[in-house]
Amino acid sequence: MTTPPTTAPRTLRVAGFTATGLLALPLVVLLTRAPWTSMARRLGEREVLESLAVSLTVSLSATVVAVMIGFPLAWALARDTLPAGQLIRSVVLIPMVLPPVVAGTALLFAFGRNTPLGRLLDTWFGISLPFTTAGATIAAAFVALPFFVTTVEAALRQHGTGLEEAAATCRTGPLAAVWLVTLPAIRPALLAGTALTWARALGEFGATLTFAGSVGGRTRTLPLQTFVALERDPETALAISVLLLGVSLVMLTALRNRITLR
Amino acid sequence: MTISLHGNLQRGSLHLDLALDLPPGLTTVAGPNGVGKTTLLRLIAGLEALDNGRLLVDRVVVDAPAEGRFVPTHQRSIAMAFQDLRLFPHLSSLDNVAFPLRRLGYRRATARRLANDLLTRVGAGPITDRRPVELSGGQAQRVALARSLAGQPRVLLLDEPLAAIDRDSRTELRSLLADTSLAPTVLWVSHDPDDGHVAASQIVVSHHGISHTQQP
Repeated sequence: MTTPPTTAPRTLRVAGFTATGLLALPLVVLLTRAPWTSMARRLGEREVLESLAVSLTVSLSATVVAVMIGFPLAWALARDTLPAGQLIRSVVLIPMVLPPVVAGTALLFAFGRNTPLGRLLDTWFGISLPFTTAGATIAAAFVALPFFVTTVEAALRQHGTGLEEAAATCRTGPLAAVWLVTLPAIRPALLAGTALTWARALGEFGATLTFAGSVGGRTRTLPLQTFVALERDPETALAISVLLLGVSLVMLTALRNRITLR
Repeated sequence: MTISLHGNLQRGSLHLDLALDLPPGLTTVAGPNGVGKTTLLRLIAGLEALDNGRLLVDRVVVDAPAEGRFVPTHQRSIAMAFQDLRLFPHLSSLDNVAFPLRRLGYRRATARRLANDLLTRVGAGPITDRRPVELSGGQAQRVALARSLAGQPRVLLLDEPLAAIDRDSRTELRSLLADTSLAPTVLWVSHDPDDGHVAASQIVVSHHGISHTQQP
């Protein structure tokens, strides 16, 4: 690859390099400080494996929940079929900018054991959300949902209704048109939205801790385990961090290469 | 009469007053831009609805606001070739054309064979494997035309289906479209006066209204 002659002013270039350095430095230190020789043993510890299992269960379930309720919502928003669509869009976006601990607090006061909704869930379905894996899933889905909705809504808007109309003239009803034409046409955005949602759910910390606590084997996800390990055994915290950094890098590469290719 | 359309609709600044009784066969639709030619086709397709009046296709009421009757597009026996093509981007040329056939209930193999025949008829035989992004303007237009023919409609709606086709191939495709075995009724929006020569009747849309003349 050849480098085109740059026209960016010198000061901007220097500032750009500085910013890159600031972002990259902690990650490089993380990699150099990581206990590479004892990595396998540390990641194989029972507590770490347990939190890995919790993390996978919680993040994947949360992604499924977000996709299932997120797609109909994104579709309705993109097609302007909802009354007060603009208001609903703002509400959906709130978890993106809300401090996660506030999200967790809100969930706790909505679904906690001693709230009307919490009691209802308990007596009717025997479900208790706080300090359970289900609660951790709800917390992760709550903060991750906007990533899916915004990505997919943008793609649906950009595509417009042209293909759905074309499908209708090919004897295809509205629901079948979404399944046979719209979904395949926005596949890259669906995959990107799902990946972003999963990444956000996997990294979730504040809302999970506030709403679901840090119960080993049930709600203690990898990020929570990292935090716990920092006090007792910083080397293990480093090892988990490297693992999560690796997952993020794989995700980013996949997003840039495979998913954006049509 | 296969199409009987009486009524009006208002879309933004566009107002259409309609009193049309179309015979079977090929009817061309001519007129300047922005007078409602495409809207007329969309109305018959069910992609637009009448504000007032009645639309009958094959003696069946498909749009009559006063009677609360509206048959949605996919339940009307119509097919349409859009001016902006609207090919399905994730499907090959062959599967784009096979799509309506699959919806009609044909098995995949049969649908593909029929689609292949249609692509050959419109002169797009060699490009069956390609996706829409890999097609030239003329090729994509042939695929869109073949897809509209594949739906075996009672009414075929064509919005400038030959606009991107070179002059030499136009003559051939023009006689293909005049072949009434494709669809009993064909409405064809065209800017080329030559296209009108093969038509049984002609609609002219202008700012002053719509006129319909039958060829002697």
